[in-house]
Amino acid sequence: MSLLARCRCPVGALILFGVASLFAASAGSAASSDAATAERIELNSTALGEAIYFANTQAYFEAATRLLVAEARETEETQAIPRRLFLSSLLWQLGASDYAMRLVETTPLPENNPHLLQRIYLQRATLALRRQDLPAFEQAIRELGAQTAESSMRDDIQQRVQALRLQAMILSGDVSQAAETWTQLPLDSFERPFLHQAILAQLFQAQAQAQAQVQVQDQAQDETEQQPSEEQMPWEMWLDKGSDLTLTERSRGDAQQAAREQTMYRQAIAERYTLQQAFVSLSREAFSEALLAFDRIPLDSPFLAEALAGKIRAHVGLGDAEGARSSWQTMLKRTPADLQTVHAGLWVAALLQQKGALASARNILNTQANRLNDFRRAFQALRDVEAPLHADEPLLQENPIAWLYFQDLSLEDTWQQAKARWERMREAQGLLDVNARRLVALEEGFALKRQLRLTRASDAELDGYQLRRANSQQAHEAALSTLADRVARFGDLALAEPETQALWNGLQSAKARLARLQLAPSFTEGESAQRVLATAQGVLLWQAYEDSLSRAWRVRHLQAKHQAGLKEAAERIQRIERELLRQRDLERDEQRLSVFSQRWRRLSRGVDSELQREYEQVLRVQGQFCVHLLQDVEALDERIQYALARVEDALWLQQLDRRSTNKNNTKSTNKNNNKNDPKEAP
Amino acid sequence: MTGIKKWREVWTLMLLMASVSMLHAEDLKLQDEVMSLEEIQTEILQLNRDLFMLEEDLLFPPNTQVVVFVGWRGAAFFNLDSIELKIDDKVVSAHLYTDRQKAALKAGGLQRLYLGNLKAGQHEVTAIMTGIGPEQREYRRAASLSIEKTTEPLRLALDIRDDPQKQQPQFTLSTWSTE
Repeated sequence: MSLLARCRCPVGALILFGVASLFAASAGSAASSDAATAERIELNSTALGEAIYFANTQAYFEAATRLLVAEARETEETQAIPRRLFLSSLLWQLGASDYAMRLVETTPLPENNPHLLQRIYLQRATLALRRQDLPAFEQAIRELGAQTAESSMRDDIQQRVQALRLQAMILSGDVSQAAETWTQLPLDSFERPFLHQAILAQLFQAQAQAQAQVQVQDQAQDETEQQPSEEQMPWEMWLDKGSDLTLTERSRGDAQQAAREQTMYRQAIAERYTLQQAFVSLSREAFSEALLAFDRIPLDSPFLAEALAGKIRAHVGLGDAEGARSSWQTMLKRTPADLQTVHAGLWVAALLQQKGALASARNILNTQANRLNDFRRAFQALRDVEAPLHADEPLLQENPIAWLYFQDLSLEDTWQQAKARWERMREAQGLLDVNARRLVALEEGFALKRQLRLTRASDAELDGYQLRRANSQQAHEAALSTLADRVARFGDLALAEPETQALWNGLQSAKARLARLQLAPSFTEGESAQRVLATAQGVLLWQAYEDSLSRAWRVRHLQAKHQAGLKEAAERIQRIERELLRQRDLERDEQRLSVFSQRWRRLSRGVDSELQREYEQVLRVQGQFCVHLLQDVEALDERIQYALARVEDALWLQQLDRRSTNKNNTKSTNKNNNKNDPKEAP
Repeated sequence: MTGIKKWREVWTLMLLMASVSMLHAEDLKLQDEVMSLEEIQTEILQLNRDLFMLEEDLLFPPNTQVVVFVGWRGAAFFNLDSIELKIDDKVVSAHLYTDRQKAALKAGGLQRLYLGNLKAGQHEVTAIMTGIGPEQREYRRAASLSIEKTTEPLRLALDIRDDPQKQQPQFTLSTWSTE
């Protein structure tokens, strides 16, 4: 298991941290101006807000989808960088690590927002560390440092950098330095307990390795050499320091829970250490010393089975049959589902056989041989479970042996990884099923739309309409222009009618003729005729004017009527255009949908084959695990049968001895009787 | 003897090379598997995104689209139980909140309470909130808004917050501003 995987930081917590940081980022940058601005920035991105909502309800896929849509639509650009950073965290958690990295690496670096710049480098460092890419992590941290002096870094970023550095130390195996740095983490840092666990796990591992080395050295060196005492171990000193700090200075949160966890881990490490020491003593055949050490393991310890097995071995070493039997009975009571109990029974039986308690030895061996069948059945059932094992599998609920060995299996790295991949593929398949339903719903929607569209305008129809519209428009404009000219030139317009023109011409010539006559000024008739002519001309003009006005009105009326027709035509054309646009959209969407269906089918095939492969891999690992267990059972059975045969032989020999002894005794008794009773003498 | 020794050396070397190449092949196989998993995951994410966009485009086109978001800031005077949303006196959405959803809202999340279509024109939107108010009393309040739906997408925000002066919760329904 990887080191970071050992750090049991829940996925949700990591994402929530991302959210918290993002919000701290938004609110923080705004805090410098005023509270109102902060609020506006916070509320500005609906996609980010929705993603936060979904992430907090653990719907990470939905959260990522919202942000991906915003990213694709390029909306709400003001929040683009925080959105991308958050999206990268979500993508990472969803297993698209390359995509996440690409997203962060292609995020443009803002020039006028140092805080956002720091957050980008921080995210790069975080993702690099999660990929266990220490050089990339160092590079990102260096760039972050180059951008900002540590003093100008905001507290949350500083804390995060510190926590990341600590994780890098754990990853590179520098546990003592990590432990030292851990004490400097702020007490309310949310990562503190997770990092603590990671350090403990590392220390645990380091200590076990150290003990193994000690064991090897001890075997080679003088037996009298002193072992380092438990109290002197540096990890223990650090643990005291750490737990004290946590207990006394933790300012808020679940201090009691943290204290309980600390005690538990501390106790587990101490027990493990004691056990190691006991086995070292056992290997040096210092059985009494080993017994004392084994006795220090409490009955509720997770290492009880190992401790009792060791204790039995120590008793056997001392030749203490009663002690061995008593310890074995405790083991039988406390850890009946452990194969080690059967194994230990074999040692006890061997000791009893040595001590001549053959019947007891035979009893133990027979009982254990029978119990092996339970193990055999449990392991076979484990192997034959169709789906990869899960904690709520009925078999596990009913069978303590299967349950115990499932715990062991679930700690196997290969099984865990295969199962995680398989589960991820199952999730993917579930999502594809949901997508399939959505696609079907959309297709049905399309079919309905198609059915409802009884009249569908074609492109040719639209072209015809547009041509007619253009022609009408042109004709209308020509008519308007002619009319306008004629209305503008009143005179022309007044004499436009042929009769009026003839009358006008007649009046003009009469007037000219009258002028040519050169009548005397006293000739009133001439004046009168001239007045008549003028009046006639005036009347004619007036009539022409009236006509032109009515004609102009008629023209205007016609024009209005024509315009209404044109407007109607234009509206109709617009309607057709819209309809065509919708039709084209529909066709485009249909194409999109068909592409989707193709993509879905391809992906579905990929997921199915991948799922099958992962499933087989999980079953393979599970099967191998069970096969090993069954092999152990068979080997143990063989040993029990062998031991049983030896005990039976010994018993048979004993019986023979007894019989011969009895015979001898009978003979000697008879002899004596014969001596005493002369009648029975031969 | 020397020939046999040489053959043995060559044979050992070949075995070594074979085992190294097998190990390498195993590594590559594992890498391929990891890559394909990653690719599948990425493609599924992209497919889901595109489908989401297609659905939004088709079912809720911008000219008729209306969205109502819920945000909750401050929870000293109100504990939200449910929200009922009415448009033109017709219930279009109702939601009962779980503890997790409430926590998500308090953490700064925005919930899309309703996404639908609305014709252009005047409309009346009403949100009715129920929950536990000050002094642990049952609390039911409504917030209304008259809106003019145009051909642009309409976004509304239902904001729940504390009013420290009145020691009461405050509910505001307003059009979303992207200013």
